[in-house]
Amino acid sequence: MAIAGAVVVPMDKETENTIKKRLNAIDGVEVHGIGEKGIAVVIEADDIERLRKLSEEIKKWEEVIDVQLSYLNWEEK
Amino acid sequence: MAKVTRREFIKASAAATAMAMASLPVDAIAEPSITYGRAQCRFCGTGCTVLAGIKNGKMVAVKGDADSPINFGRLCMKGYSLPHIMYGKDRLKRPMVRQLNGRYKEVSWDEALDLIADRFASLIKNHGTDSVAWYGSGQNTTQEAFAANKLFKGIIGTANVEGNPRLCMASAVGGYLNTFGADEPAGTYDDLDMTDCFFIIGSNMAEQHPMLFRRVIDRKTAYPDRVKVIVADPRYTPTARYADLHLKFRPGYDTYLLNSMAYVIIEEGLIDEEHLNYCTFRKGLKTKGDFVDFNAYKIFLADYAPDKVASQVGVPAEDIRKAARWFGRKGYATLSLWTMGLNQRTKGVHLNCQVHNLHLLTGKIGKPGCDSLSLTGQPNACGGTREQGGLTHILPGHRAVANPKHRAQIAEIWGVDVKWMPKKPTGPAVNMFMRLDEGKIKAIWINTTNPGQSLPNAGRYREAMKKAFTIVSDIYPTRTTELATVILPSAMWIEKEGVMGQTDRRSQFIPKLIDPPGEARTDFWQIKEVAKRIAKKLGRKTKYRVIDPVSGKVKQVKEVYGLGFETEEEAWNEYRLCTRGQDVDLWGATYEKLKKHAGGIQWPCPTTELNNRGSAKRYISKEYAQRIFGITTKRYRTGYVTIYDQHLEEKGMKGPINYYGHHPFKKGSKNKAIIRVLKAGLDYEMPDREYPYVLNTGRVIEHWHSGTMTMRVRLLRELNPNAYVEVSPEDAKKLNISSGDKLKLISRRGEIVLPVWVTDRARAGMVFVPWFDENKLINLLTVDHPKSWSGAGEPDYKVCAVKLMKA
Repeated sequence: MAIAGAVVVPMDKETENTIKKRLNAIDGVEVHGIGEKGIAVVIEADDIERLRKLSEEIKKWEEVIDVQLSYLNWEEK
Repeated sequence: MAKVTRREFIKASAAATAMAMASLPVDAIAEPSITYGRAQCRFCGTGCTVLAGIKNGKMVAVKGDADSPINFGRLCMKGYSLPHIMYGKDRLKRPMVRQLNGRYKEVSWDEALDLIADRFASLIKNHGTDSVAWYGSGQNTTQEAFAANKLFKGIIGTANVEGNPRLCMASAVGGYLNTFGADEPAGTYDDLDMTDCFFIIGSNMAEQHPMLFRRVIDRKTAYPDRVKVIVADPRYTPTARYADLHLKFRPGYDTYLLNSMAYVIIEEGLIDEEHLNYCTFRKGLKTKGDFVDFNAYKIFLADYAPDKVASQVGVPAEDIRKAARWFGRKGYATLSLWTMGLNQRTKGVHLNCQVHNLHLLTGKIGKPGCDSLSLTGQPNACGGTREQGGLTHILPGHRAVANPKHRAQIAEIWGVDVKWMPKKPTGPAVNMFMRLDEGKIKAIWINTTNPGQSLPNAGRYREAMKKAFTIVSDIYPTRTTELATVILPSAMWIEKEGVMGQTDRRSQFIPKLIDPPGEARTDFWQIKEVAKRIAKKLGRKTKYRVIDPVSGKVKQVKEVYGLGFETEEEAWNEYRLCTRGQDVDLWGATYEKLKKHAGGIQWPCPTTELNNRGSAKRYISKEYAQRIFGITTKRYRTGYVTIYDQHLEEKGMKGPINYYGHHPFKKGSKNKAIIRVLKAGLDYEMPDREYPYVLNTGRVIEHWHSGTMTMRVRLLRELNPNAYVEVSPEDAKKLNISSGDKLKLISRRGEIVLPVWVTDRARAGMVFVPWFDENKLINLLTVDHPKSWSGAGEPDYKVCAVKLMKA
């Protein structure tokens, strides 16, 4: 189990809702609100590698500047 | 009340931290069985403040501390790995002694400590005090470093005290001393949030100081047109990819580049004439060269006009001009940041001074967003080594071993006889290991560092360590413990208490939150116990005192064999006395204050007033701060820092700006900074016909230093499991190699075979190899010749000549 808290930083205010919709469509991602600094999300995956890849994928979206981790917890095998 | 599962709790914690970081209101979450303690991250020199979650005596969670003015609740991948670095299956748990058959036998602490004390005392008696040595670390707590310094310089009486910061920051010290007369920067991390131009040279911040680079990105994102990011680096690193301007100079030619930028700054009228009143000009380093005037400097720089040097530097002349113009823009702020790319160089001190020169010429120092800020690599290189005096030539509180007055002051505080103390330095780290190799040093205590992997030309010194009586204190087996006569198992990080000091004159407290495994003990305890035994054998008693932490009143209690303090807090208070009234004034950093303030205390902090967190800026007065910043203090939730220099105020020193460095070079430059007139020069071992490529070594984002901790975290290990060699596409074509092929690297000292990564990160003519991999010791190849050391005795890990062969 790997769980991260993160802030998805949008390119601009206009893209926030688009990003939110895309995030909500991903299995394992929960959106917890849109704040001044970005979109607060929780990302959950079976293991840390999958979580990392998911986070990297989101970071590649055109409307996203960055995915900033605020919390990360995983179990070592 | 509904029962919360562990998964639900973790998810709630993750959501809470994300919401806090996104500036959303957060409901408090609490799980009674997890308690969080505030500490400083164990890894790099940034000093991020973390909250370590403890359950049933084990660290189970970590989060960034949102109250921290350093990382604002954020952490990097290594920071998030903290709970996992402590629980590797091979933690050292019992002392061990090497037997005649080469195998290690577990022994009791008493047996190990008695053996060490007996051998040390015998060697000192038969071969003199300089037959023994200490090699510490920028990862020791300040109390550990202070204890070791006192044992070796105060009780034993040898200046054979060195540490791994000599390998990473000594050139930065040399730069600050030569320019300002006093070590460490004038500015603060807050300058990152106020600057208009980042000049990042010889630093891959995006990977090695990611939380500070995050602030670079934040600033650039907020003001994309106003803020410029210049990166000067032979490699096209992730940091360089982010730059508005990448100066991809030829390895070794940055001394030309920096003089050329100075030329443009003067030629195009970007100097700050008012600020030049606080500066003087001097040829060369230290005290040998003449003082000269501005015009002489201007004439000197004529040889470095961009059109004249661009082809040597390997950067278009127009890019040099653009960099200088952005750096010197009138009315805008500039912040320089650098690390090993400047420090680990034959011309390391020159390069540091040359960066300072640009700031002094343009007056981009002592103002919002302006500073010449050397970044630190280790979490306590500044505190435990530079400030505490953990090198051969220095004593606590920025004092010099060679200065009789300084020795007397420290002897008084230490409660030792000044006659016991060494009167002059011996030699810097690599010199010390050379003397170990020559048999002049016969016993060495290596603590919290891994020279078997990190020393240049490591093969030579690995043999030396194996021959000598070598004690190694560490947490895991390393390429150095395998050479030890005695291995001492140490407690790490939050298994012990201590103070550490980072880049911007900041000290933070680390509490003991959990117990170390097995029989592992703190390094502080180890040093204390050895000191008791050795002092008794040498018949040298120390005064044991209790110091009131606020009044400073010293009460002599008794004479003892040992260090004269028992607890870490007592040691800290004695150390604070050493700094009192010095430029590095930490008298105000009481335990109470260190525990209260997330992000710690910034010296100079002469006052114990509870809310005073120290000085954000050095060398400027209260009036100047008011005029330039519009404020004199900055408030945090738990207190405030002054924008001005409290040491300057306390001592009643004059001037809006006062570069008050009390150093050997002050004659002719009192209260002024020195712009050093320095000819450009190259590294010691440049490529030639026989060895035509430059080997550059360094770090990767997943690992820290020799990988002792990070290679025990599965995630980090799997992300980057082994060393490789970066080769440019141009060189790959020439060598007829592709990614995944094997390449043999041969230097004058050693050779190694590594898998190839063809990448545009590398510059044609230069290969890069990370040094974290203990199975591939790249430092068997690097250069250790004394002529390759910087003026501060730091070896060159960035430029040595190699030849390459497809393997």
